[in-house]
Amino acid sequence: MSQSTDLSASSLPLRKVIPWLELAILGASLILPAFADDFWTLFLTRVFILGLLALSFDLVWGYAGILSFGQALFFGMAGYCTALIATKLDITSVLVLLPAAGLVGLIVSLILAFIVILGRRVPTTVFVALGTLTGSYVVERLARGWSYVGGQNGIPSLPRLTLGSHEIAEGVWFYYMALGMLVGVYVVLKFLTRSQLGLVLAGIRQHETRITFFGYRVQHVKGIIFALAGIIAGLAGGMYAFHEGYVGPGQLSPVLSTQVVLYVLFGGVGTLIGAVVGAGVIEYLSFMLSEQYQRLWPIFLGLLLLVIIMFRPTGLIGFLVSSRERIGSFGRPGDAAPAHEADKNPP
Amino acid sequence: MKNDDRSSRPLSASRRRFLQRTSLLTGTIALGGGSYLYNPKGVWAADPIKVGIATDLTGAISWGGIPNSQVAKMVIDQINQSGGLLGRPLQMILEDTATNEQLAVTKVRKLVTQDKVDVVFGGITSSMRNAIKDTIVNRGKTLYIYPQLYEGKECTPYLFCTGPTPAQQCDTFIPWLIKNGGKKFYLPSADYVWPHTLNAYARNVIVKNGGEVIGEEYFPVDHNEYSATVNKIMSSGVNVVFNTTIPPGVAAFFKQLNEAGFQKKGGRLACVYYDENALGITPAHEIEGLASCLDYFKAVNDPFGNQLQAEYGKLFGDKLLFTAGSGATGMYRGIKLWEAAVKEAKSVKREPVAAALDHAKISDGPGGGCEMVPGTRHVKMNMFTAVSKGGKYEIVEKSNGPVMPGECA
Amino acid sequence: MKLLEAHSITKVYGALTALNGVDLTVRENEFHGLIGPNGSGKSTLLKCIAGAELPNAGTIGFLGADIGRAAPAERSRAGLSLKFQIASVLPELSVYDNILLALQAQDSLVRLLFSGSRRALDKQVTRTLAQFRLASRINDLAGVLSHGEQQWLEIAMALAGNPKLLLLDEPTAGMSAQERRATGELLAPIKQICSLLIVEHDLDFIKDICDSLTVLDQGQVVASGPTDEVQNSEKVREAYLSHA
Repeated sequence: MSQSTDLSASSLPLRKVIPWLELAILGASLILPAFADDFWTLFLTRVFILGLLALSFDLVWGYAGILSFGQALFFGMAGYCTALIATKLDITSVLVLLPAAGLVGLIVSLILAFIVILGRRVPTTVFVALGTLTGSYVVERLARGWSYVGGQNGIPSLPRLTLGSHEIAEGVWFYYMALGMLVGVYVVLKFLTRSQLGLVLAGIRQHETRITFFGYRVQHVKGIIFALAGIIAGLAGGMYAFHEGYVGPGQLSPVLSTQVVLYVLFGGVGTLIGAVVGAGVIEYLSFMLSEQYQRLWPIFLGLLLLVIIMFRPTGLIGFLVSSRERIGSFGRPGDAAPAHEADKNPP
Repeated sequence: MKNDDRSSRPLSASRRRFLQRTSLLTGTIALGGGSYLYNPKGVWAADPIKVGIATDLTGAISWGGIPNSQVAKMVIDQINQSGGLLGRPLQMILEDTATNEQLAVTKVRKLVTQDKVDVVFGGITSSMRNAIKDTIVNRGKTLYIYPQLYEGKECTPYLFCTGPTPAQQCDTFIPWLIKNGGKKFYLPSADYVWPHTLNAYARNVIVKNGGEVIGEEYFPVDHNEYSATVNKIMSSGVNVVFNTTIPPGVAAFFKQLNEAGFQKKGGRLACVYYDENALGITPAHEIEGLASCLDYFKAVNDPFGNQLQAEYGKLFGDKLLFTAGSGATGMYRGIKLWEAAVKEAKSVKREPVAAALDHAKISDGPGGGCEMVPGTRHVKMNMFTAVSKGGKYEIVEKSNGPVMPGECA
Repeated sequence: MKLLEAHSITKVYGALTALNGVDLTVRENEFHGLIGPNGSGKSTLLKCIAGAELPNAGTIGFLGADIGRAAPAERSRAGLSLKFQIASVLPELSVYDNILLALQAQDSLVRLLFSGSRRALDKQVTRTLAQFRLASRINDLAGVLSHGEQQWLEIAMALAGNPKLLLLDEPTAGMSAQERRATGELLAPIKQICSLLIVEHDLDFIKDICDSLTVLDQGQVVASGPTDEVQNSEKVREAYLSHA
């Protein structure tokens, strides 16, 4: 699964599209609850949370070149752990549960990283994909069989998150909390991927072995990025469980992990905003198609995804954004050097 | 999508006529490939009572979801034809939970938040019920009626269960099995919650009735190599195999058990979820003599049940039958009990209806009438033991009156 | 002063012995050429020194320390830099960003996250680009550079960390005569600050810039010493002729 680039657009972009897109989506999200009915507010809250999960995948694959089919593992485990804390220990404070969710994501991702990603030899993309997929599969199977965590049924009827004495009910409150977390994480990731560290990530995903010869400890960087993605996925998982009111083995399954991969591929990998857009569009289409075509909707959705990925591997964002803008430049603070027109033709 | 259908404002005359024409059309098309919104036929003075049906129309459990939705449609139409409920028609809003718990929550959320239904019927597997119940009952503050046979222990307030429980499937069945099979039991099972919980209950009943459990084993649902288990069964003189393995693994198990000569040596195979739809899973000779215990079989041949079967067959054909294993009988029971409760409460608000539903009873139903056991939100009903002969069920025992569910006491 | 001392390097690939007890020494401020017919093990030796391969036997000392088992990143931080045989510039990044990537490699992760050295390195990037005649290509993607330009960029990146010893694996492969001459001119001035160990096929190029040569044939050292001596040695001529 390579990321394609159109190298013929080798000059600097004349106009950046992504910031406008980000601003538009943020603006619309901020005012939406005033216009939409309750159902759509709840629907979008869920989209924000899944968008957060999608961001975690875009970070590892779109930026560090790690094809992880296990992001749902951190998502689901964080959901389970926070659900257990809430139901067995009666702790529902969001100030405890969300950091706990992130911590669970961190720990599990570090364990998985040691097993699958780190090590003397650089693992191949396929190995990482299969290894993370297996991890997700094994843990789902375990969760299905373990009665303490409810087996197949999971842990139902979760209490609401609280802030002090106030309940964060799903609806407007939860909407803005989820949006806030999404925006916060997004800003952090934007900062990271545009920094000099982001340049290192670009090097890793294009030619990992080569940059070790510059002196980069690539394994450290990958481990840190994977752990950061684990934290993000964990945060999303914690919020999801309490928004939906239950946690079940489906939330750590390979099916969800694969769904996340599709969100990002569909939206546009390596752009951050693509992950969020992809999650939103696929969730919306799933819902609308299943309302219209009772039996056939999964087929329609599958065909649509197939068509986009085959003909537009850069995803929906690829319609608007040049590959040059997507990869970006990390150079001078001013970043105003004019393009050299004469040398545009490849040799 | 007809957007104007979703409003709950009183309908203007022209709109009603439009709806009348379209709903006549939707009423005659079998479910599938049309609108999910089933409008009452005819002209009504009051706005409809909204009934939400959330079940698996697609995915692995569609064999249960489709009959569930079809029965619901049939019963709701019947109620509308006899004048509706409290003078209002019933409007059925059907959502496909697609055997996908995560998608299901959004669908159910739509029912309670956007469509603002007055009651939700649905869920088939326990994992689905557990995924959607919070959204319906706590967050949506709506009544939820669950129609399928299950492992018991569901005591959430405002959640009523109308399918058989382990007590109902074991209390009369196991004594019959001991009398018509023997004392030595083996429990081969699928590895998930329902078999574990059912087996625990069954074991108690077996021992209380002088029986003995030789072995209890759990397999993944797609397991297909049972020779070790079959050998153990054959060599330890097991009389009754109380099976809870499910498709797809069950076909292989029954075949291997039969080929080892279990039935020929007088062994009795028992399986409490096996209904008429399941009979087709394996060739008839492999399950000759298989005993099942459910709240209804077509072979019960009661006049009311026969009439229901005839109507159902006329509307929906015979591909997915009206059976107890798919929760269709529970759906019938649930809607009729709810109807009775609404009539008593003279309201569709949750509190009064739940209070009335707590002791609701109906005198007619497939397999006879039934009654809610007050304070438990479970139904006591007649149970029937049937044996498969030549690929068809024959009733061999009827319970002596309704059997208690034994839940949430 | 000895910079690099490789003793008895042996590397075996299954049935094939690529290197058999090879010794190599490179001094400070020295340009050392490594030549030999095809398949003599030149590239393999270079890879063992750089850390791309691990030898089966032998020791490699660099500035007195044993780096035989060190990872490439560690060798790079010690002052050893490798320019790959096949141009491995990062094609989707601009020329500027390629050099920046090489220059910032010694920064800590925290410093990189907060882009602490971005302004500071800017001058160094432009100076390097000018030095390697890539100033006009500063914002172009490395993937669209001509073959020769990519090789220069690679050399520039390899020199970015101020290494003490630069390993060059066939830097003029695929270049035109003009480009080759330019490469020689680019390399000459760095002798003050960096030694060179260069694997090459073009004997003229080697003769022009190298002080000393080591000749390999079938995994073993045939001759080693100052360029003039080795050039005229009988053994060397034989080795080349027998593989003509």
